[in-house]
Amino acid sequence: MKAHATVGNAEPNYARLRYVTENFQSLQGLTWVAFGSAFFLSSIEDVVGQALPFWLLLVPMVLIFAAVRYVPKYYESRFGSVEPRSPSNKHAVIFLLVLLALALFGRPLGRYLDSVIPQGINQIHLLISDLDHRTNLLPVIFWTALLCAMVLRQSRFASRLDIPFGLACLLFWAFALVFYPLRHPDVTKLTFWKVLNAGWFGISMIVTGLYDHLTLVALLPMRVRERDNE
Amino acid sequence: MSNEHDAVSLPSRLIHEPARLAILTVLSSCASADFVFLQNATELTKGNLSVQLTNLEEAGLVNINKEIVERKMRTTVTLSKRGASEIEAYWKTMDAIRARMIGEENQFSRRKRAIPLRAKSIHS
Repeated sequence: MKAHATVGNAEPNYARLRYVTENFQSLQGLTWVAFGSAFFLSSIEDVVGQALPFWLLLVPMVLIFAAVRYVPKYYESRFGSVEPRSPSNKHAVIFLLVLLALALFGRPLGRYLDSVIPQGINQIHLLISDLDHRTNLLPVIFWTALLCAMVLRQSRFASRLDIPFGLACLLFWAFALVFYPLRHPDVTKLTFWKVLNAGWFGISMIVTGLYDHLTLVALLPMRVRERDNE
Repeated sequence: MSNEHDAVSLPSRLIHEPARLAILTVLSSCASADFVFLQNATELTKGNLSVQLTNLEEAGLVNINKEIVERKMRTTVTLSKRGASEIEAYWKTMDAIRARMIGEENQFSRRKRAIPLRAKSIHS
């Protein structure tokens, strides 16, 4: 994230230029922050146990409106705009091949998985529904999948940036929602733990959005205001 | 050896300049980019970016489109077909040069390691 050598000062970092241009749309994280906040507020209502005040119910709507109306304008005025490349033919060919493979082998594969998956599901279900622990495995599964996607990315620059963040999030959710309640079953009585458990998806969206936004700000730092004679 | 040197073509001077290379790298990673984004990404001044874009347009490497959006002039830049093929060729050339430099470096370090071994064998 620190690697932003400039054309004016030294040799530019071309990996940074490629990464920030290719991922400009997905790095506009404030949209995710707004949607995540709305999601979080709507998911913790059950945990609090009482009806939330009317104005607090309006907040998610205001956040979603801001995410749709003002956030894209902010990004365009601050960073400019980029039209992404249309997906290459390679992706279309891969998609068609996967579709063809599913059409041909989908049914036998489904029959095989039907006999294998329930055993795994039962184990997970036992852990989730255990009244003593109430372990929520979804955040760990979600972040493991996200971390795998980060590791498999072709860009070394992107992997170097994202993997530590993904790993930190995975470890946080694993300790907070899986290992800690397994060790201290009483944790299920804590409101903070309940809020984390119910609002993990909203919190994940907020954290990811903030991370993306800060990455964009670090990669495209604010230009020094030019003097009139420049 | 000299034949090997001749085998790798020299990179184009027009593209090799850091500011222009930065602009072309940005444009090769997207369909089009506006002036503000290019300025943010390359961190060039408005004047410098404008001059570099004009040079690239005159060389036929980029296309510049100006339009008025909400009473403001908006400049959008796209890579021309020639620009796309030239930047690709440039990176291929640079990769070839880098690969050869690494090869020569390995050969040099192998030779360096071999010298004390030979000296040792003479003494023994």
